[in-house]
Amino acid sequence: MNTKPLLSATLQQAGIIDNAQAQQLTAASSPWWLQLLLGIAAWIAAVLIISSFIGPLLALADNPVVRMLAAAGLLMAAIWLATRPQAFLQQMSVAIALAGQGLLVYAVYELSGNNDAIPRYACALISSLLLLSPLHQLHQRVSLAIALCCLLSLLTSAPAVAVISCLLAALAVVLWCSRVHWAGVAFASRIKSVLEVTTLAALGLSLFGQCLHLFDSSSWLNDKLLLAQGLYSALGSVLLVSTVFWLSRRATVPSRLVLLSVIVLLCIALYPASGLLLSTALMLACFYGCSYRWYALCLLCMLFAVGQFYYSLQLNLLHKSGLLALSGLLVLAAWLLLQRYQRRLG
Amino acid sequence: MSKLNDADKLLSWTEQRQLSPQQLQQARAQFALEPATTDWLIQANRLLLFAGVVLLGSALIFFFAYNWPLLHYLTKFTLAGAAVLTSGILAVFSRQNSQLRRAALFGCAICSGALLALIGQTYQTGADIWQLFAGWVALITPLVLLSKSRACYLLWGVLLELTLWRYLDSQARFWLFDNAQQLWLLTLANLLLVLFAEFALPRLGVNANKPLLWLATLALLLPLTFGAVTGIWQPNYQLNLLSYLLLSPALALWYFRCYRDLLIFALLLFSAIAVSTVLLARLMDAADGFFLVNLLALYVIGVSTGAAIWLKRLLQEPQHEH
Repeated sequence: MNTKPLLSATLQQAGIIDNAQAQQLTAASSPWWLQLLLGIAAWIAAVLIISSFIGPLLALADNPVVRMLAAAGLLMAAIWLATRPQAFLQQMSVAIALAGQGLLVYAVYELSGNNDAIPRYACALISSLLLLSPLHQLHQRVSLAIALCCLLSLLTSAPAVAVISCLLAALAVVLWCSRVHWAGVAFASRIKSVLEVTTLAALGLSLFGQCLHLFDSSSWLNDKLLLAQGLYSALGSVLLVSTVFWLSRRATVPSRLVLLSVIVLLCIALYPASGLLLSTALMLACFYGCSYRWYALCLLCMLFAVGQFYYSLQLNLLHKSGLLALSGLLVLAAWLLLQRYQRRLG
Repeated sequence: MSKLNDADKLLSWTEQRQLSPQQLQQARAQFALEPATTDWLIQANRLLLFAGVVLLGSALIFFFAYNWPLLHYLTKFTLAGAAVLTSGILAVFSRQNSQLRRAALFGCAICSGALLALIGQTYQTGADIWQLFAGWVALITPLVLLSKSRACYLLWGVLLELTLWRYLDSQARFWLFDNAQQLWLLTLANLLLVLFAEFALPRLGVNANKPLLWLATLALLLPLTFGAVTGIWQPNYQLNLLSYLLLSPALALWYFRCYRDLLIFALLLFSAIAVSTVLLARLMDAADGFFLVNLLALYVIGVSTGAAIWLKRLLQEPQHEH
């Protein structure tokens, strides 16, 4: 159910916004399906235009300087389109900006003598700089995700991946928990883009960390996988306990002690399932940050982490079954305690 | 939940500079911008119970997976049969139309599939995968009818689609869509599914049938549009093109005039844009490539923008403000 008109009407009744602003709030948003359909059409149109203009240009003048000029042209066109009010043109600006970025990175790759590390740094730098432009929020997110992928792909040390994943998760938790404080600042929409990309990356990396042996079958990481898994689990546990500690700051001392004891016991029982610990911390933070969509995604990620735990190779299935049964019993005991507490309150 | 959704919207509006920080502070007097103790308690109640069941259920699955190669095949059948029976008994003894009954019937439908797969695996029946899906659909049909639940109907619909896709795929030379007749059959089957979702589901006690109807329409429009687009270029797909030309205006008329559903209407509109763009490309086939590509891009921009403006206007009409 769409509650936006209802909410804007309540704000109007309370005298917080005027009639014009209420109408603007209601009209500003399109339903997701219309945005999706418009997005598909806009991307097709953008691809047609780019291929008709850029294709012949690159075929006629095949050198990096021309590519850079074409990329700059595309980026300027994208920035101009992003300032237009129509949703369709905004979507087109995303496609054109990404094409411009891609072309620029390719030109850098050619200029660097086919070195593949420099373009990745360049891609991260270009994406970070474009964050300051008035480009569409979808572009900011896609661009940030590409930049993050480029930077992460430069890592070849498993412990470094583990530490960075946990730092990203910690950043996401801090940003979700302080959402009320930064929502009003001038560059809040950019912080939101950073937050969403960080959360997605942290969730993905937490699942990756839980199955390092499986993902590293071609040994592209160095041989310190056990240390990395230990770091994932230890830092994930610290993050989960700290999140619960901070979120329960207004609870009474006995209930806080019980809560923290349950969480510490869960962290011990589920120590090898680092993905589950990290996604639980993120889920709690998303709930505190009032985002049901991200909360649901974290919950889905937790379910996926349980499924993925089946394939983690460091323990046998019987051992894993015992750990899950123990944690399940612990969680059910916590639920019974909660029921008792609520009966006493009610 | 609605309180938190309101808080999320207020924060999002402020982040997008649609509300000022001062207005957010004023709104804070009326709306809580973080979950209250009761919200935490409600959520903790649901989550702990759900997590407990998931963890214990997973522990059980992991335990049987560990011992699976050591089990006799009759024990395996007993286990799968016991799961079907337990969920069936739970459904019989739970209240009619209760959530527990729906969940039990859904579980029973899933376990029946596992039992069928186990039988196929043990006796190496040599059946095609579509036969497994068809058998599964037939087996769970009474359960689905009893459940009156959207999840069960969704499972049933997905299995039907899989049966159809796998059957047609097994008859195809390269892939499913390389034969006009197969594509037409798929379209026809999906049309029947749309009619079932539109007219039969409300009579079978499934009131909130919209999401199922949307999915069925999407499943219909994919082969229908693909057939029409291919029919513009290839003569052997002309029956598909004709079906599109007859069916899509009829559906558009129904979902715009008689029974307004803007999501389906938008799908039909954008499908028409795709078909008309390909038609334009076909008509201008002899034109210069640069001119043609830009003309097509301009056409897509123009008609899509027009469609979006029209749809937004329709959405703002009073009957669409929920």
